Amino acid sequence: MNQIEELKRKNRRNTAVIAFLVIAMAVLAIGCLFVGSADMSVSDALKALFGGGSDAQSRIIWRIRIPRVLAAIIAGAGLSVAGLVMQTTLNNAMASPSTLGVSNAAVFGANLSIIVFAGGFLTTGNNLKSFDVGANPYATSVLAFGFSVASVLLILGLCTVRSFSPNVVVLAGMAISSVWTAATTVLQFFATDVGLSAAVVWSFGDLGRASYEKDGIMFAVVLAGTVFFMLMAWKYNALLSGEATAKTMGVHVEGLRFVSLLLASLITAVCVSFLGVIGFVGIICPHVTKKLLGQDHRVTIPVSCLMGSLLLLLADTLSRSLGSGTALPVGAITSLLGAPFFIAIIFGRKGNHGSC
Amino acid sequence: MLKVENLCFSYGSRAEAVLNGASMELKQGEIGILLGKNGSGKTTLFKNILGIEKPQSGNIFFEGEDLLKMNRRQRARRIAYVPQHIHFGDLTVFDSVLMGRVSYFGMKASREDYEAVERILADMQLLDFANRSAEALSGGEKQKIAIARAMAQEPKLMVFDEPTGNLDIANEQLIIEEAKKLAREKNISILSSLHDFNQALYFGDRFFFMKDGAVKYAGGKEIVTEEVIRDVFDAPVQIRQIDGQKVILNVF
Amino acid sequence: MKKLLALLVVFSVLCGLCACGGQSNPDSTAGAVTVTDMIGREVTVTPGSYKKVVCIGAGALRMYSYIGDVSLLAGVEDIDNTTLAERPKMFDSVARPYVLAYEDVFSKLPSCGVGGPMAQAAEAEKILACAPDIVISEFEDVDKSDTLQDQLGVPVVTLSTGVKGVFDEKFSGSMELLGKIFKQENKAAKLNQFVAEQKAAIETKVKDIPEEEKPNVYICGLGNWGTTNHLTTAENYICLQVAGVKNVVSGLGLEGIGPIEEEKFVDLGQQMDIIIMDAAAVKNIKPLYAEDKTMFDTCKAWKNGEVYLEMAYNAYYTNYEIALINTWFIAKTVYPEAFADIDMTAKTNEVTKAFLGTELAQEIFGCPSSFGGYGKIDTATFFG
Repeated sequence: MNQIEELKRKNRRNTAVIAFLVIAMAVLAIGCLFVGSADMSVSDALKALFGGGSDAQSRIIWRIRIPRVLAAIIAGAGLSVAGLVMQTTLNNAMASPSTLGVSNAAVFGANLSIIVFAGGFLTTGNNLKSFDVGANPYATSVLAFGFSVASVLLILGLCTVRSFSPNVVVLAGMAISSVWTAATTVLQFFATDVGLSAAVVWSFGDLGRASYEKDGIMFAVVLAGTVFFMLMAWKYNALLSGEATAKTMGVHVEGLRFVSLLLASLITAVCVSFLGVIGFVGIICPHVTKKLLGQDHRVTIPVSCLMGSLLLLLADTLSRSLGSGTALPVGAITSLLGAPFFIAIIFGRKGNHGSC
Repeated sequence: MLKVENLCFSYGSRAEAVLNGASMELKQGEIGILLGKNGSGKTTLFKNILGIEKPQSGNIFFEGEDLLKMNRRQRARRIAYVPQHIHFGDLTVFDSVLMGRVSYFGMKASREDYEAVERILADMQLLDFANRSAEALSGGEKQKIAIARAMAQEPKLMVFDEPTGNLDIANEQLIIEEAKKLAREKNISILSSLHDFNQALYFGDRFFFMKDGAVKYAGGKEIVTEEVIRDVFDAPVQIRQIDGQKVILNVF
Repeated sequence: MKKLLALLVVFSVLCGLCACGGQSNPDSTAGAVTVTDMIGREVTVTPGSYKKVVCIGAGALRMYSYIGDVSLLAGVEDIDNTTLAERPKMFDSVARPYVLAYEDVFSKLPSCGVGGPMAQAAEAEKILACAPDIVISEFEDVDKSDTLQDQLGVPVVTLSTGVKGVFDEKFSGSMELLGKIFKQENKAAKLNQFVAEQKAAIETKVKDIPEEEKPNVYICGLGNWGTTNHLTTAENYICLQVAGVKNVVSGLGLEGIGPIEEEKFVDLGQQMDIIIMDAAAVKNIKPLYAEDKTMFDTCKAWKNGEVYLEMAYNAYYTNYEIALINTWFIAKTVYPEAFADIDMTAKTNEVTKAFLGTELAQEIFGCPSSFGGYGKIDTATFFG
């Protein structure tokens, strides 16, 4: 009976970890509201937060910092949980949120928009053919999303018709990714240097593009996905025993894999289309979670979400405080910040039996 | 209770048939042992019975019901599997066993599920392991946990694929005793492949010799003869009686 | 035996070539001098001897138009030939005075390449088809220029543009170099002197204005790798510096033209007394404004209606004469009393006459993206 008590303590500890992470995230999120290139004191920011302060200050808090912090929380959670689910359903430690070619497809779509249709969303109104057309702020996101969804459906479609083994999915994803990358290279080869620089800038993830509408759309998709993943937690646990064994325990592995890959890819597609490519969150956070707390998906799904939010919040805050007035690409920061930590975790922990 | 009729199966439509009209029958509470050369179709027959693969033709009946028409959850409550290579992922032993009940609770385990698992762990003297990481245990311990997990499915039939394949002799005996106890005490039928004839003779009630994707000989201990083994395995053996027990010796 | 024969043939051909070179040398070396071009290459040229000139790269034709004789041109880049259907058109709606002045000349010339930001290398074959005897380039790269000179067999002289634009030594140096090559030293000296005098005139007018009376000015929309929007600014903008104007953007360490975060813009907006907006950026700000009509609401200058339009500073590199006129305009906008005597149309005509020999105010203000020329915009209606 002692062991059972111990077990209950462990479950309570996991609950405590989740609660701690929620609090840490809330504290960090609120802290982030006080960091930025504008010279606002903490009391100014507080005043603006509660309806006082100047118009400009309340605009900075309500229209710029809050949407940005929300975007970090939502996209971080989404990318991280998508990575976790990809790793479990494909039984591949190297799987990432964009294993099905989502990011590369989104980059291609964005390049197409910026270079060919010149519907750029940052600094390009450089339509070569028509001189008075300005930038359409949504064109690039829409095309990026369209192509990433097309990429996902293409791979899942092919795999459904032929073979749905994880290795086939991963290989097909690699092949399709390289097709998008090659197509992007071709586009960029024919691009103006103006379009090229805009396209390259787009592919750096930037949370500054967030707005309440975009946050709302991302939130809906991430929430729907995460709720589904949570409901399937036991089935993912069963998958850890191997595909065949999971089937004998009553899990409809093929269906679960299809829906999981689709949802994880949709989450990634939405985040990448709105914010640009934010690498590594989806690999680092799930692995760190698994190394620290084991692989029980009832725990790893919420904890991965929270870890992703934390990492992206931290990275974004750093990116905004390092450059004064011009934020560095947050995607680079996530890798710079996360990789050393990641390496320390994978090499540092004892009792590591290499299963991921 | 389990009746397999004329099962045919091949991996992919153009591949050579692995099962070629395999038929067999197992009764309630019986321990059936599948014997045959590597590649004779034992594992594939298991996979078809377990629903991991679907046969191209033939029938499988379980207590008179068509097993091939059941969904995975219904099947999982009847037949449990103890695979040869066992993985759990980085879960506790308790959770690994609780997972066996996923076909009952689906999304969230209830109090009854927890109690059932506690009971099983107590029965199998595994309570001390409950909080350990299942993946980090030894081969024999993992095998026991896998049996506990199969028990959690409350099955009527348990399928063992080479249960003693990776174990030392002490653990081999332990697992065989454990399985035999289940069959005798809980009236659970067992279907197992084994490659050791003496273990098979000690463990089994019925014997199925597979050759070229079909069951060529089936019956009680009496069918385990030098001739049958020579025919099925192309290997000469000698059978002696020691203390009234058949003992099979390798001939070199 | 065959080898010997082959060697003999090669040898005789080489001799022949040397002889040719030897023969033609006396002709072309008469009056030949070695000049150092603006990127430090030594090029041998014969001043005043050139009859067929080709200009390639951003700004080269513009600079040549200030000093050289456009009737000597043997080819033009597509971007500057407004009669072509297929050409880069992104700068068409903003004023490029050299094109406005010499459109009719450029449109009759054969193509020497596509030009525009698309072109990051010279198109040697098209240039050869124009058979130039000298090439003026703005590809500021020693290797590229040397390679091109080898390929073409005629001098390739590379000009240069600097961060201070029309007030940069690289500009006056480029003018002097062109003057030397085309024997227009006087014209070049006169233009450089004109720019210096204009700069001095502005500086004299603003030098006594006390620092504390200076309003905060935000400059935005400067072209940089294409057209930009209200978030693109310059911390060290030469026109503001010459006009003695206080830039609201300071201390960011921003080199050249670059974007700031929206948050920074909103924050600075509280202090902005005057916004100078580049005409080329209007088309990009419009859709953003349509998306969020409150985007400028917290900006002091916008609320007070203190938003002014300058003509396109950069369009296929800096419009040098417009940079100078913009400086006058910014000074006049910020210090209306000190510059009360300055009329922008007259000033525009004066400057374009000095640079291009023609008064172009009407043409410049008439371009679609000039929105009628220098002036205040009506913040309530301008973006719709």
